[in-house]
Amino acid sequence: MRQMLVVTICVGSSCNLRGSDDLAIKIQNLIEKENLEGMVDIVGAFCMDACSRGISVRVGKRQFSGIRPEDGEAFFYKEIMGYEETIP
Amino acid sequence: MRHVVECAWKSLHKHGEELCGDSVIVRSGADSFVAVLSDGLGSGVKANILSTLTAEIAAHLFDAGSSVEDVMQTLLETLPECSVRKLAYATFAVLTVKNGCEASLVEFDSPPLILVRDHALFDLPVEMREVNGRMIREARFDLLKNDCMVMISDGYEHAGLGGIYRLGWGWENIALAVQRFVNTGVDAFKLTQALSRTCLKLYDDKPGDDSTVISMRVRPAVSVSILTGPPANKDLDAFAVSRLEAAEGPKIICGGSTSQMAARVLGEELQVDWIPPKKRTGDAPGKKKGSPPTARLKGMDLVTEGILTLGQTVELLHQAQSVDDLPRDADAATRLARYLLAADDILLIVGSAINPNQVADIIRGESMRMVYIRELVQDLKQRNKQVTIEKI
Ligand code: FES
Repeated sequence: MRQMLVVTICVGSSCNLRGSDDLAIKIQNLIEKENLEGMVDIVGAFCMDACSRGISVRVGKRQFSGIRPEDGEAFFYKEIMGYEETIP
Repeated sequence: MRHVVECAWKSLHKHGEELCGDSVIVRSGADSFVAVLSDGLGSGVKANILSTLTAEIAAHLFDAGSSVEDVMQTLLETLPECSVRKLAYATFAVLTVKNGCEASLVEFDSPPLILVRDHALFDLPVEMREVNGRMIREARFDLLKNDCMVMISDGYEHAGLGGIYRLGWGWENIALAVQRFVNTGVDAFKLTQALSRTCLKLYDDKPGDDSTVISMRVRPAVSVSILTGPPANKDLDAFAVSRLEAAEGPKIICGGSTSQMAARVLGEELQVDWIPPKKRTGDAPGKKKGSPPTARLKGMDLVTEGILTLGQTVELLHQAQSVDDLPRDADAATRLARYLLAADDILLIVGSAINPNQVADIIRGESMRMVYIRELVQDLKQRNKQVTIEKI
């Protein structure tokens, strides 16, 4: 079985104002819908020093910034469902 | 361990007067403390000027080690004479404490200092002598941990005059009240509040005279140490964290990158206090919109983000006189403010790294962090706290 995938959502001040909570709810709903509970976990993080127009998110080892809550669904299918760990 | 004199005071104005004729000065340094209460002749503006001058002169000269003779002489020469009474007069009581225990008291026409030690009223070794034709009471004594002292102006002695107390509340009764309050374990702030409320009640909410109380309690100094900002030079990361670990009192980290750096140095996990929205039950603490998160890191008492938290903390401090005035919240800024207000000795370990993502920082040539820290330090120093800054 694949290892648990950790999705780290920045809950720092800037990202929080831009809707970390809303993004987290979206992703969580999608996790449930796709029956991925127990395989994908969501945790919060301090400011990732990448404050921008959207929210900073880390999926496994890959970091993204500028994600807006309304992009949640696209982001989920592309980066979380489609996550491939590339072992160097 | 350093001992400090915790102190709080409150003046009630004579009913209908805008200015108070009693003046209070309290100053404390690393190893010295001085409290002065002066009561000017009459009330209103005149009394206010007399007592302010007297308190300033007495505080300054006694703290500098001048003799009682010099102080009395200076006061005589300086105070303006009242045109009606042909008299320049304000009472005073001055208590100086060196190293948290060596006390010396000088009183001129003011109600004697009340001292409660080991739950009982303690008689001070007072000596009377005449200086420049005026009777002065003097005492030198050593203070012990948990000693409580109260200075009052004569407005307290007269409270309730003609009402509940034929002759006013009176020193003896006040001393007993102080003893009773102290034995319930109150701190200087609560003691001041309790006495002041009682006095106001005895006056039926209309004080017949300016009434001032200064409460003091001897206790060990409380420390707190804060690391904020990563060092400009990465090689000093481990040093900065070890400084915090070795420092006294609760340990706090302020700053997102700073706490990530510390977690790395300590090899511990930084856990941000954040519950996914769907798992939240009721209102989780500190979930006010826009209040930055806190985190947990082994060995640390509080871990917060930087700039916004510092800014909010400065705001909170501006609005609070003591810990009791803070909101009952558990968000980062309120918790930080609580630690700061409870401490006497505050160590700030400040890293001077400039955040390359913050254009304003680069233009300013210093981080926003430093701007807030300056404001914070100014506020804390005004509260007679000992603040030490170590820049790394
Ligand atoms: S607050 Fe999220 S990256 Fe700064």
